[in-house]
Amino acid sequence: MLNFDLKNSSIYPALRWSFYFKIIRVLKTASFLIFLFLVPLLIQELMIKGFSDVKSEFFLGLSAVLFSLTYIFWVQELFFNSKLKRPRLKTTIDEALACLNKYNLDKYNLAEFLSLEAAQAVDKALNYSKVNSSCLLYFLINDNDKLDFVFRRLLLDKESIKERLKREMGNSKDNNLESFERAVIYSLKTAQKKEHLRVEIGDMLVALSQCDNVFKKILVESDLKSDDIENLTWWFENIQQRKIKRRRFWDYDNLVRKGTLAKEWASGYTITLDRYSTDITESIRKSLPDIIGHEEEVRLMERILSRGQISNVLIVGEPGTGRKSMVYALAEKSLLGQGLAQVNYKRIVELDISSISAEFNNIEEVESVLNKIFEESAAAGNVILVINEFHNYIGQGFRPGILDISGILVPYLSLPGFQVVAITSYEGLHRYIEKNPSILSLFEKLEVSEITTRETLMLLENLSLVLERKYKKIISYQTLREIISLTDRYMPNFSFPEKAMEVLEETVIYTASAVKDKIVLPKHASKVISRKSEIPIGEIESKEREVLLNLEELMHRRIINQEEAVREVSTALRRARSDIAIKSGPMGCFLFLGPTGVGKTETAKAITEIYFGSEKKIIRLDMSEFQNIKDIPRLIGSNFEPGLLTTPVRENPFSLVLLDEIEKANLNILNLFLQVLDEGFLTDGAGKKVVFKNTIIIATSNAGYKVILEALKEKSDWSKVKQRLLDYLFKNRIFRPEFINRFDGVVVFTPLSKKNLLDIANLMLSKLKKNLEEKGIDFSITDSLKSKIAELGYNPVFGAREMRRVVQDKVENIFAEALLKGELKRGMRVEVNPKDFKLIIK
Amino acid sequence: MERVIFYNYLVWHFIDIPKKIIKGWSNFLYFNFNYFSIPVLIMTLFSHYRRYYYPYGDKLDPWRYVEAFVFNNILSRFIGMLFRSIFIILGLIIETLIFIIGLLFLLTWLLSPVLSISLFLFGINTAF
Repeated sequence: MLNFDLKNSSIYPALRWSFYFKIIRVLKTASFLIFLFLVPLLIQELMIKGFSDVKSEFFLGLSAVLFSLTYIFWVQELFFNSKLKRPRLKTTIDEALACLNKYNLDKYNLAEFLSLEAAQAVDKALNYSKVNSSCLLYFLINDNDKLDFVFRRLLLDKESIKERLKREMGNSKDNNLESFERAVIYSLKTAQKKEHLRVEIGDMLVALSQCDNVFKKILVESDLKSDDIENLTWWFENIQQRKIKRRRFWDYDNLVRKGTLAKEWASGYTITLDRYSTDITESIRKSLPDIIGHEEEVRLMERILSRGQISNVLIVGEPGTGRKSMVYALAEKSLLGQGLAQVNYKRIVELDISSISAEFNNIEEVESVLNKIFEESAAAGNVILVINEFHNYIGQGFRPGILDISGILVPYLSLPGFQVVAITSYEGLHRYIEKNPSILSLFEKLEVSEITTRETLMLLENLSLVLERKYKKIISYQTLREIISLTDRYMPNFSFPEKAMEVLEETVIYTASAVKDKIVLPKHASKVISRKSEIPIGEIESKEREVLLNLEELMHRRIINQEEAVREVSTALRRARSDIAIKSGPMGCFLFLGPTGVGKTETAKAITEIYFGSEKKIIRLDMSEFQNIKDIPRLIGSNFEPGLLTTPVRENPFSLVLLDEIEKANLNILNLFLQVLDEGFLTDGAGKKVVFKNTIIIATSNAGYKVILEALKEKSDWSKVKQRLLDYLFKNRIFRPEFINRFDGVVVFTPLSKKNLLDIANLMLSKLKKNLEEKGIDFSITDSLKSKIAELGYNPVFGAREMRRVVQDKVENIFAEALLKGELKRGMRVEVNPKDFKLIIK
Repeated sequence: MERVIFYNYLVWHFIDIPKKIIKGWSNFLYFNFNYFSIPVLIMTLFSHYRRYYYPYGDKLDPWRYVEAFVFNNILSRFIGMLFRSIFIILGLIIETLIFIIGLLFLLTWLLSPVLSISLFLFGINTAF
């Protein structure tokens, strides 16, 4: 049994007296309002009659009474809010929970840790006829309007939840102390996780979302999780804290934002720099940005800038990872004096080189201005110069319209008073800056990674409030969650947080302009992401289930025979898309083995059409073009050319990659694919990460097809043929086991039987028949024609590859001729004589 | 319980809140010190104004030396000292004012129970 005694807790006096202090608050407001009303009357009386008049004395006395009462009530209210509501705790939640874990249940009264609002809900729940977690939840949300924020954002109807809880409370027959105690312990754990001194109402709500069955059911029905409640309460608490912080004008952090009057006198003038730059410190002084993530990187940047010798930083990261927000974080710390001494109270100034080059036509003039700026920065002694997109101005050589500042910059970089924070991308670093080792050696590299999805959510929450004010819309929490999940999945080649922030802003604009809905919903976000990524997300989400369940049937509309291949591909795709696969690679990767002309490529095309909606979504590479190691740059790109594999995948991440004749590629090139098949990404020649997680990769090979033909001749058991084929491939070192093992499925395509060939001929002729039907001509396909096409189109070496050409030459041509000559007219019925391929018009 | 609340009130009024007032007061004092940059200005009292410095040149040129020393560098240092002194004095005056206001505020708070009751009684006497 837990030690939970509310009546003997230090919060109990506040609980008992809370009603009295509510009255005090009303009295304070009333006396103050009357006092305000009396003051003009008093002034009027005093001005007309002076102090000696009885009426004046009455007004004066009454004003004094009301003022003193207002003051007394205000002090009492202040006492209640700052002392009685927050009694001093004898121990911490950590300590109490540690004791609880050691089964020392009696040591601490857990009710001590409740905030007043939480204690009020607990008190009402304990006094209710049946105690359980649902009645605690009911009183919690009934008495705390502050929690409306959470329910409104989640698009949950608080009133209907209360109704449901009330019904549940009425239905329960006995006390369920176990669920109540669990809620208390979970609340303490949540408060501990959030480093709260006591259990706030948000902590209790999170705890109830984890342990109350009714609330859990409501959340499941609304496609929400306890994590969502936790995120929302964090958001709500963060807003509250910021409001409180802003109100406390006497705090040093708020005062210091005013800056200094004379510190700059110890530093030099920077007239030219001021003209061609943006003072980041000044801009953040007006409104301190809420910077989330990259704390460790900012600390490292401070340490580098505090060094005695070379103290220049080169921030390297993909665009959109928040490289510039790190500079803002540094500026904030410097402004507030919260950084290292050598960085504090410095001016962080972003140099605008493009405006200099736009103003001056002559390169010499530009260089002279830059020289002056660097001179001023070095002499000023309090400037940290920021150069964004640094690679644009380094290692580019001297060509018209191109500016290379390395020659001017290098002499300054080693000066002690001159500090630069340069920002570049990996591509810029490898392509331009690394070519100039002298400049690179004067910088300390600082690599920036993408921030986590949790941190991105926090940023989106802050941005939401700004956008809501600007566009007068309400952004639901689900929209933020959807944006993160969809951008993560469909825009893998862009970085968090920028991609999510851009999508959020566009979604709000879209909702405000095109849809004119009051609330921004997930469906609006998916529309915007569809348009940006050119992937029909909404359709896929709903259609995908249907497609996946009927994959075999859909594929057999185009593929004849190859039951095993179709089944394996279908099951692997279903496995991959239901998110139960442990592997983190592409959506599916398959190796199609078999003789030529049996439908390997056709199967790949069929998958593309069915799954991605169009055959255009296929990225086809003939791997026989990559037989040498020097072909690698052509495949993955380099600083000078796009990659035949990486660039199309980056541009169309949702597509099928078909690697034809993979056995002909160089072994080193096959090794590149090990990481792609395993992890789902590849670093291209320019150092950029290319994500393959939304692709299906199909490699085809006819290596070892003789083994299949022999097995057919010998009529061997088909289940053993695959093993024989793989043994052959390993023995002849065509593929290595680690390469084969990385595929989701190795599918062996069987040679086509006569019946299959007839079916393929029928499939091709049916397409022609359909086209002719549109012209009003009835083409009747005879068995003898199908047999003849199959006979002419089949070759033991090339399979059914020739069949399409035969249909074209022998059948389509004669129809075309007859149509042009006017021999065929609407309403005619026609057959083709298989002997001489002449039309028989009926 | 009422006695406990009364005891808590006394602790709060005469210990907790004065501590907070002193903290806020010291914030203002420290901020003003920093706002007028008094330590930096004292340390750099005779430095060149805005690092406005004239080089003496590599070659021995007496006239240039005199010109740089007397008309420029000395002048720059003098202007610097003048401005800095003005700001140091202004900063110290405001610092003193903040100190006095803070002290008055603290005393008013400490005496506020007596003052408010006195005002109440005065009001009653005057009005009725």
